[in-house]
Amino acid sequence: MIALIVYTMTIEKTRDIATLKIIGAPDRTIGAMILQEALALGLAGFAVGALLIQLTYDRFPRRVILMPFDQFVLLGIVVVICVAASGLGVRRALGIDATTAMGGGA
Amino acid sequence: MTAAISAEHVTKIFGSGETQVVGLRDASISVLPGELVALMGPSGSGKTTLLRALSLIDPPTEGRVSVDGVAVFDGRRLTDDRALRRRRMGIVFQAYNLIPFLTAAENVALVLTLDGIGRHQALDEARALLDRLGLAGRADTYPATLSGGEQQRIAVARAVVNDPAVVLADEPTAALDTERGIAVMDLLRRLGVERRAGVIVVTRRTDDRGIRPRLPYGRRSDRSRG
Repeated sequence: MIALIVYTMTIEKTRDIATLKIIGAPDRTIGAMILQEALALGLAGFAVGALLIQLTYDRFPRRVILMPFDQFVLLGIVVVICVAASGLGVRRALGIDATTAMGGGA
Repeated sequence: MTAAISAEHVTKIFGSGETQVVGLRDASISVLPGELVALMGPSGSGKTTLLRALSLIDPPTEGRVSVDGVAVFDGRRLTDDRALRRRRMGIVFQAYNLIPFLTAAENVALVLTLDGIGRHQALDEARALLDRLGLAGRADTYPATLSGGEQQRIAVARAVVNDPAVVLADEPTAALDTERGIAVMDLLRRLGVERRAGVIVVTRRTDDRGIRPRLPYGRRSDRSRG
């Protein structure tokens, strides 16, 4: 899901990314921006999830207790998933032709 | 005096074999610091192709390009083209191309932060430049709420904030009315002189006052367009 969202957001920003390439942004900067976006999405999801657990866990008859270590492991998994998910977006971004930011005139 | 940018015998060929198209043939140009030169000509004459070739966005097939006396292309790239544009060139687009989720000041500061300058220092420099251009009141405004003329003036500020040797502008007045177009051309000329940058403007307008057509109706490419 994160990969799909990041990929879609990358497509929507094609012109901006092409502009960044034209004004001289290195590939590593563009890649880092997309990775940050994926991490922000993943961490926001993790935070919302953790909050929901805190608010609702005592309303369920069968409880799964998440110890701090478990949450830490889950956070690590989220980060790994985000990094992997950003790969598709980064690949797409680095493949964008910089000339798409310019007019079509000859 | 060393040219801000010079190109010799630049040819650009698109495709290969039977689909090969010559976009630009044997073009040469030299622009001095502080000089503004307009590339004028009909659609398909290779104006934008030359601009793309000079900036190495779409490098020439043949020829030689030098910036500030340093060869950057001689049949092959001799430098990192993005570092070249980041440090020695400013680019102005027809459609402004400001980043929509950054404020005007952040857009101008972007070129500096990309080159490793700290965010605060870059923003200070950007604000100072916008202030000198009479755009201080727009520094914290997002592009969507700015007029076309304001957006293009901010785009010009972004193009010169890194003190480039050369500014390349691709039809910067095409989307503006005559009055705002003249204001943008005046700004390009003034900043070019102040910052000792050579300015090349692609334009199809004949009412851009004060421009100096260097290649009036330049040699047509083999491309039939428009």
